[in-house]
Amino acid sequence: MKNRAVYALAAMFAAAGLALFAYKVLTLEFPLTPGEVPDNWDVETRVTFTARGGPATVRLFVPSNTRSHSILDQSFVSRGYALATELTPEGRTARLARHQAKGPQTVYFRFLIHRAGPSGPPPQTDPAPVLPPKWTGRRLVAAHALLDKSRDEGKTATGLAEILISRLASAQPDDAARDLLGRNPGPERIVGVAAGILALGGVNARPVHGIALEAGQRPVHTVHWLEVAEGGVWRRMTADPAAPEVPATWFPWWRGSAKLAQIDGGGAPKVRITVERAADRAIVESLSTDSVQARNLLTSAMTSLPLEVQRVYRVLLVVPIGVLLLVVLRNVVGLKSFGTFMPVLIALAFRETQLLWGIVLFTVIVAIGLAIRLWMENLRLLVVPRLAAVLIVVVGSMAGLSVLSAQLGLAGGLSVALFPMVILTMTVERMSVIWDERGPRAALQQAVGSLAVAAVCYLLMSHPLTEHLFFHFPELLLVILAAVLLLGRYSGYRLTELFRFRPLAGGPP
Amino acid sequence: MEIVDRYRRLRANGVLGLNRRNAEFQLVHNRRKYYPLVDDKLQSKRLAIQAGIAVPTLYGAIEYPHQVRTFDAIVAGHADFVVKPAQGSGGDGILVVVGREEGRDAAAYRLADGTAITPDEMHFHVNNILAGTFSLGGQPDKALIERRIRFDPLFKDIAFQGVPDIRIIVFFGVPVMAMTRLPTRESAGKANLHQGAIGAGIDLTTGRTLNAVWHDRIITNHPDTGVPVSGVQIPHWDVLLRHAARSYELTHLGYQGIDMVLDSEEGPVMLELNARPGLSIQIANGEGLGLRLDRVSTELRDAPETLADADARVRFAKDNFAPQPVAVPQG
Repeated sequence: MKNRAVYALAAMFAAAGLALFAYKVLTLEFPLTPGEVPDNWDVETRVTFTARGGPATVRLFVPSNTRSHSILDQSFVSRGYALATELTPEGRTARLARHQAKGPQTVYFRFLIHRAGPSGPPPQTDPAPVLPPKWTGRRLVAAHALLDKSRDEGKTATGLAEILISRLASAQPDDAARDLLGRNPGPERIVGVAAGILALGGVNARPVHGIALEAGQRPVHTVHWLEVAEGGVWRRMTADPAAPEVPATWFPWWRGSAKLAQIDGGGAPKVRITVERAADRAIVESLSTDSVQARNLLTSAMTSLPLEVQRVYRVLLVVPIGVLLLVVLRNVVGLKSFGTFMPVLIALAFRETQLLWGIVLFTVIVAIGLAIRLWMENLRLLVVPRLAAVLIVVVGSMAGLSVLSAQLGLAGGLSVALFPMVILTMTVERMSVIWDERGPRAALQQAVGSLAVAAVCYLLMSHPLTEHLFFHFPELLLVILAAVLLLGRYSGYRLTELFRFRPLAGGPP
Repeated sequence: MEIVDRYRRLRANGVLGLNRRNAEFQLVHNRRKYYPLVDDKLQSKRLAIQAGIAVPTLYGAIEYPHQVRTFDAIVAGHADFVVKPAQGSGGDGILVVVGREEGRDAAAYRLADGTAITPDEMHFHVNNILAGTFSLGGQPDKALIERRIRFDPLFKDIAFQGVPDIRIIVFFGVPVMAMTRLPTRESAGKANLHQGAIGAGIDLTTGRTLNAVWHDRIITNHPDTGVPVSGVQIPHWDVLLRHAARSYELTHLGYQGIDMVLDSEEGPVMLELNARPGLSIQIANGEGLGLRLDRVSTELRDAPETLADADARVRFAKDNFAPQPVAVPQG
């Protein structure tokens, strides 16, 4: 009767999901594990600004192929803007122009980088004359002073550059350096000033700006280094004298003293970059060849989304597997937990805090909340204000814990802000009712049970393989759905019932 | 393997697990639209009165917070009474007031467990009930103020400071299994097994108690009073069975539990109906529910006319459900 419909549905979902999965694995050769992903990187830049109402132009630097990197695919998404690329001495730029623009404007620029081969120093094929900076007065004097002091020690071009950088990046820079750098200089400023001083001294040098091709950066900060011409190649060095070697992951995007994005006819732009390891060969190929539209949508549905959205779905798509585990733990094993999905939500928070910190923070916050909640029983507050009071206590303890761990220098404690506060509040409330009605033992038992379930869900959901499989094969959701449907008609004993009903297990087998 | 072996034995003995209870009985035979009849004790009380089943007299009900101040007027003429949430579950939120205590700033209410609470605390408790602290899913609820049961002296020695109740599982009007739940010191006068009350199985054919179970362990004597809890004859057994058999016509729920108590004046009184009765009754009876439920299903399919009226269903239960406890392994 009802079972047959459930089995049929489950079989349908499972078959559809597994068929698409098999097609992608066997025919399109999608890699099954995250380790097999080639060295491709998906970079997305979002430029937002407010247009003044007249013509607006966005100038963006566009990366070029290097000896070790090739740019596979470039695309702009910008409604109403006309695109033109031009070559300037500082690099290739894209010019997006519009006759009439008013209000908030957004331009997306996306490209794929394939990294291959070693990254040696780029040859000096373009000995473009480096223009000395437009320093005047006091700053020009300071620059010359620094140059003269450093010349005595650094004989070669790179030697001179190293001395300059160590002077500029020093913790206590001298007055001349301070005049040029201003307050709190970052690597970008140091590199720019060094290049300027070197140009004054007739050395061909240029600042380089780029990004680090590493996963898990949020937000992505640009990286900056210096290139100094010597012996026919550009020698590279960072703004950090302690680690002058430019890491192999750094990718050069544009050169010179300009910013990545410049706006005409609008306010200062906000630039946000995301870097994500690109999916796999098949998706990269389908993106770059743009061959069959239908195949694209079916096979690379997730990777066609903007990177920021992709990041959200990387998390969301592992939730179903956590929920499946929860169903198994509750209906097949027979564990009890507070609230139906509370452990999965706590497990999501553990992704940000890491397991150990997560458990510590959860325990501390719930303990504080529970203590105050149990004491509040004396105040005889009505239910909704009481819940609100507990929520405020929870938020307060979260903030307090963050401040405390910042003072103690414990980075892990700061991530407490990512805990779902409403879930914590409801946990405190339910726990206190159970504490009152059934005793502390039952309350603690359920709390430990929920935490254990959350920890197991976290271990499953945060595994790189899980994330890879569900992000690149979202059709597996259908298989999970099938499994959940089947579990919905499971009428066998729960594991805990085998112990509970032990006295009834007599008689012949 | 030990575990697999135990799984098979439990199944052979017809022991009902939570999953099977939900999937094959509760979800299939209980239509959701009838749930409010049992989840709201005010509604089940009205139905029972219509059917001529005795229930504890309702002194008053409080539905909205502004009515809380009428509480004192409701209980004015009554020395003792019970306050309970209309949609409570598992006995949570029930206060049994056994008398007043004078002499302090305000007259305090003395509770069954020997403690006392002030009128302020009582109003707070009623407000909590209205806000849904004890109700299923936390929905707003009503508070009922009822006559306190003066239980039959028979139970004096086998129940500690509380009202022992009789729970009968009813499947399409056929009483299939019964037990009595005896409060202990640990359960603070409450008749709930998970709070530490004792459950003793009842022989459906005679109304005598069988073995008793406490914290899922089998016992023969009351842990607080030391009096044997097995072999006790439950008075008015046939009336209790008849009430149980008629409860199906009240609610149309195929699978339900009926909770009754024995009042020294009124005899069997129905406290509440339950659409999700627990499964510990099987341990108290030393027997699985599954085989008895299957027996009723077969009869319904083959000869539904034998189960047409309440008396016939009681007879069927007495004829078919003599205790057949499964052997209990030692240790």
